[in-house]
Amino acid sequence: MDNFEEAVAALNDLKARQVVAEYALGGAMALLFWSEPAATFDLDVFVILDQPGLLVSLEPIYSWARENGYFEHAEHILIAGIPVQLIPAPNELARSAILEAADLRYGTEPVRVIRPEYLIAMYLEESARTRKRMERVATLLDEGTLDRALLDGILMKYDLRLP
Amino acid sequence: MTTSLQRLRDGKRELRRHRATMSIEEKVRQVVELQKIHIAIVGQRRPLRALERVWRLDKDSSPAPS
Repeated sequence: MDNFEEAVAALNDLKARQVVAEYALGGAMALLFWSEPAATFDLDVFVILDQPGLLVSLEPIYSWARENGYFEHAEHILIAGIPVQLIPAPNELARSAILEAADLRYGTEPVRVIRPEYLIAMYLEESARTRKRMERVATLLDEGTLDRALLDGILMKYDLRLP
Repeated sequence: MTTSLQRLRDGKRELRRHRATMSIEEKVRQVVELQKIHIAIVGQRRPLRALERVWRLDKDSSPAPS
């Protein structure tokens, strides 16, 4: 088991202990499963927290991290030396992306990964648009392996447009 | 000239196709290689950010935070 697999195992533990209701890899490390590798230094993980009310507390996640000996490092948690950023789903699109994530494997560990169609939609959101992310959108579109009907449906539902 | 450019484009497309079809484990190792390249280049131009550290994939060598 390498360090990345250990980080994935920790995410599965996070879910098994019901600290989060569901998780899915996002960002450049999700892109990796659908396209060519891209440089990144952290692992973005989108999570659904099963908490009542409007205010979201990350304290259960930090408690779990401390119990497992994972250091907090700015906005990241270091798991097996890999900076992991746990991001509560900020809106309905992110929530759907997590719930509809693909069940894949890394080594012997199951891992949930946001599908490329949802990655594109999340990158196209006004608050998320950066030049780097637009390049990622282009890369995913170039792959030619997208479910175009799914992508079109997501874009229409969330009123998003391809550049 | 056009033929040379086309050959370059074709070569790049082939390289990208090859990278995209590598195993996930190999892709993760490639990410680590990209991190090393990034640090070597960017580290000469500005101080590295706290996050800009090469991942150690071998399990027994996890770095503690500085």
